[in-house]
Amino acid sequence: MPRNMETTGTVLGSVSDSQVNIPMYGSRPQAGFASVGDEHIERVLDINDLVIKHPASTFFVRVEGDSMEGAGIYSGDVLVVDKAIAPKDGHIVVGAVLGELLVKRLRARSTTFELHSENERYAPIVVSEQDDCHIWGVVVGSVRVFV
Amino acid sequence: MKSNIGLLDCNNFFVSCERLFRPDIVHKPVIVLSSNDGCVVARSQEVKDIGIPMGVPLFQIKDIVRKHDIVLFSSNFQLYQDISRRVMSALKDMCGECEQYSIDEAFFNVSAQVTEADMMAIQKQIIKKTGIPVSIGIAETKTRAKLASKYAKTRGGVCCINPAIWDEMKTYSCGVVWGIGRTFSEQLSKSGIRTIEDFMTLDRAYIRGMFGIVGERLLMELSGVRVYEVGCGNAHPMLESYTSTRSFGEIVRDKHILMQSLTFHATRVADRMRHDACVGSRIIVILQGSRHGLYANHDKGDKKKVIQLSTPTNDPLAIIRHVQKNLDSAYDPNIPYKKSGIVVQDISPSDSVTVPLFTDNSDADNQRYIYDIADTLNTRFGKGKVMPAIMSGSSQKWREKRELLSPAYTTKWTEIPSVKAI
Repeated sequence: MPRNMETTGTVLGSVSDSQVNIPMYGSRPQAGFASVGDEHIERVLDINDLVIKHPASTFFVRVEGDSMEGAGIYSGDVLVVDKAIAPKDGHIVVGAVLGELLVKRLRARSTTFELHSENERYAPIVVSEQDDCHIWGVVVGSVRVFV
Repeated sequence: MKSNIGLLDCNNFFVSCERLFRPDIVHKPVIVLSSNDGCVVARSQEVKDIGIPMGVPLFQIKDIVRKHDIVLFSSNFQLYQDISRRVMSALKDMCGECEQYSIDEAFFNVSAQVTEADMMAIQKQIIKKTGIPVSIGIAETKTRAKLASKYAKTRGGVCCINPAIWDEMKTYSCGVVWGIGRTFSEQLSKSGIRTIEDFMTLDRAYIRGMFGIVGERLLMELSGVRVYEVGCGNAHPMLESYTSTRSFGEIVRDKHILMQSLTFHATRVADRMRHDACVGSRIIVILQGSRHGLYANHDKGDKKKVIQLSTPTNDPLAIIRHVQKNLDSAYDPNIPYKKSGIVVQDISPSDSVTVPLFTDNSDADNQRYIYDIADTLNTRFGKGKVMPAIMSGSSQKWREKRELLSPAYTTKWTEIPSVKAI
């Protein structure tokens, strides 16, 4: 059943189908001043632009635990992790340590590195070269939804 | 200027995807299984070294799996597709437009001066950015590049073909050449043609006589004469048919459940056809009976019902209607069905369709309108949110068994990986 039957009447039948397309405008045509806004809006803000620099190498992960609370990272937060960024001393990183993914502060030492917590109840992890451990990605931001 | 062609190939792709968020299984043997967890479709190097072949049914290797503590996964296509998209995008960032050839392979153009060191840099970048190890082969033609990428896996993952390497490759069996399938290589083998070198000594006219134009092109490509260019964007040739089939999780006898599975397949092929802007006018409904165990004698269960349409379509509702009308003549309540599917053939571009003068086409525009809305909603709210009503309360019977499925790590907020703050 054509949707626009009531507007075109039954006499025209299926011929009326071409009239289904309705152009959409941001503002209604009206007497007086036209809306000045329409032609200026190119696109709206997208939160992805703020947190994602490299779409192909950016992943989201969820935090479990309280060892990074000093850095403002709480259990349940979503972290934005970028694998394309070269990890540097001071970065918050996701490390693959003995088969587990951990979020820690990276501290570079001359030949090795350490992974520090931001909570005094947790001791730093000192990584030696022979350990099965590498930096998985650099944490570039976090997202916490309140409501 | 003369250029070369590169082929990027992800190593053990499905396994690499499964390992991406699981550092605990990086050094363990890993297998990914086909739909319904039936057969081996991807193996880690450790599994290859154990000697488990591709395609072998799981039940045949149960003991080996237990003995070597092999980690098993169901196919997680949501994950593989997203990771594939990332790899292709990373490649494109570095090498410009590329032609994705399969979920884990892509061709790209490179200059003739490119060195193995350049390619190693790209290889390293892709591993770093996506976490997926890749191999790269470089050569004058697609066919040679494909061989080079195979060869690359034995030597650090990068291979630019040079005369010395080619001399070694020529001794490979014909069967490894892209486009020489099993039947082709068996035929060749019968006439004493076993290696690539043997094949290349054959006369062009002789090859054309035996294997047609495809064989002749293959010969040219192998000898370094480019026949196939790297296609970009929409340059890919039109598919000849669209197929969606699947085995059921368990035996199905009920006609309604069968119809639900066919509706699923119809929607899937129609989606792909609309995506590619083409239509088809020949629908084949596939029903397959079980042949296992109890049902060994039910070979009469296989039915292929061909439906010829007067107007080509890519409208899922139209396809579903035709299938429904024709299901009665194909369905037999006594048959234990194991598999169903839809194939659409006689494909043409959708803008070339001429509507027959005396066909009632009154609903066509409305249908298109409905499906545009459905597509938008499904893109926005997730696959399967809007679907034909027959699918409501859909039986789980015909759906795949995927008991070893890993999370949709990158496509569902509720399933993103955890990192420990401990």
